[in-house]
Amino acid sequence: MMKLSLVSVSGAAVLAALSGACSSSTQPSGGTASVTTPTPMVPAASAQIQNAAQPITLIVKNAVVTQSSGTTYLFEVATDAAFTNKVQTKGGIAENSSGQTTVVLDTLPAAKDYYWHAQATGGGTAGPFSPPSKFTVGPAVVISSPAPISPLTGAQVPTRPTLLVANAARTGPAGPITYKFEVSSTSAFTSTVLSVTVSEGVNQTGYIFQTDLAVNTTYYWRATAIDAANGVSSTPSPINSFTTQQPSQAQAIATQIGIVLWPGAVPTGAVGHATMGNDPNFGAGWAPQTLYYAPQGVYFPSPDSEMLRLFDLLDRGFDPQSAIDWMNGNGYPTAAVWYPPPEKAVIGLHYVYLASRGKVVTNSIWDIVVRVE
Amino acid sequence: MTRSVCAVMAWAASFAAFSGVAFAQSPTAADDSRGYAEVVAQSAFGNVTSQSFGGEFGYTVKPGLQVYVDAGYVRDTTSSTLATSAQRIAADLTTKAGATSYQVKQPVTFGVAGIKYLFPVDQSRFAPYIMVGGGAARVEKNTTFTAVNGSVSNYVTLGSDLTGSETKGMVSAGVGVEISLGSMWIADLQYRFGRVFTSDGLNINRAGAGVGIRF
Repeated sequence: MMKLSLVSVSGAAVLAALSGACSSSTQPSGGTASVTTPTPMVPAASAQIQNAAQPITLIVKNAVVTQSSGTTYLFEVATDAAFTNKVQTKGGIAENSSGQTTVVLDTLPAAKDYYWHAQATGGGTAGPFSPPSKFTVGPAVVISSPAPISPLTGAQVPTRPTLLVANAARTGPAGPITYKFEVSSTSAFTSTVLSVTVSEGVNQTGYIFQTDLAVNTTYYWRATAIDAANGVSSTPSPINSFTTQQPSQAQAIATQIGIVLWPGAVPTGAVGHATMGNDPNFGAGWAPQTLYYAPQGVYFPSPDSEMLRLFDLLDRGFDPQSAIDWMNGNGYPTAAVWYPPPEKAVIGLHYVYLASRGKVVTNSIWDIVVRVE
Repeated sequence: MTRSVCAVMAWAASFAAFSGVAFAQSPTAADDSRGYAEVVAQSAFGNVTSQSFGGEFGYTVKPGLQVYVDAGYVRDTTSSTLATSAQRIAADLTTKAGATSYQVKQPVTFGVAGIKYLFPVDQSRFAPYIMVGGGAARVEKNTTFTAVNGSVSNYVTLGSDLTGSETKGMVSAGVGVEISLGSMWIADLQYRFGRVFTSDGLNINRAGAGVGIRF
């Protein structure tokens, strides 16, 4: 009887213990987790990445891990799809709760194909690597800053100046280069008067203002060379300043007839050393018109850019021969010939002479006289 | 463990504690035999409902008290955790390997031994009883994934939460009524609760009937 009672009581005790277990509302999850592959998202498969866009960020969609605490990721980058030549390994990257986990690579050598994959580890299980995904890093392109040609600091310019730089030197397989010209009223470029991008010219690249700047105002400018295809930009050129002044006589007519007086190099010197002669007793005058060159039966526009440039140089204080030499030496070739006094005191052009009235060379009045020979 | 199962166990424990003392010396009809053997078929229920088959053998050591051995096979005891994990994996594989289906089963093979107490009910064909025992169980996790685009092994590493097996200790308790069908045949209406001490913990509820012989 005693034994039987003990048996019954013991059985009751076991069951009571089990009943006690019922009060636990959760059961611990045991064993190791099941882990799927993360999904490569960025860069997209076969992506072309500019070398300048480095460092590259790899992004995966998180793997499914059935026991999700403490999941980490391993990223591998190799130069072959079999990952025998690994170039970077980034491990122990904690899973981001946003659903995507990222890692930033160190800079990779340019102009190469790369393969990358990722693996999640969690709950004691390392999942399989994701399928390899390829991307290509573009070539290394370096572009030097363009060198300003004109106007250089201190220059006096008309209200529609031409900004000119020497084309930037470059290394590597650069793409088409453009130049961004920036003009500001402050040397810190805190206020932008102009920001414009133009295609590269031959040896030099320039921009001519399409509207007038304020007169007697100092502006600062710089230029930056850009290879958009490779995502590379130079450092900005050194900052230069210029001050606008009233347009010269030549500039005013150039604007009137729609030509650029100095599209390239701009001569120095302030105007005020010459006057356009408009007395019909001495010449045809400087008003835009069509003249007739009888020896060849040719009609020609007057004044043309060559006449205006020569006059502008005389107006800036150049003597006639220096003006001719400056033009030939700065990208404005001319066949003009200076016939000095006392015989003539004229500059011979194709159809006309620029004649100094009274054979006075300095601060003279210059007339346009159609040649007869 | 559900509240109803807990209530049954608590009732059984209390009943055993008191009745074991009060009726220990009252013989029953079943006390006349040396023992019994029976085959059982049960419905196993929990997160999923499946079937269980097995056999039970008992030997009378004292009037009203038997030792027994219970062995059987439960076709599926898949827990909600296991099913949810498999579903999550399948959903993710669908995005990588095409439409993916899955099957998950958790069969259990067990064997327990213990004592069985038959309550004294004079002159009746019905002999209620309670029992408690311990043993071991082998729990298998069979999870398979089938993808449209072929093998899924490149996309998932299965952990022991979805695959493999483990053999762990098990305790079992039960209640039932043994019904005499003549001098030799018996029927057994029964409920069994088992707890397998796997890493996740596993409860097995079985309710069914057995047919056997008394000898």
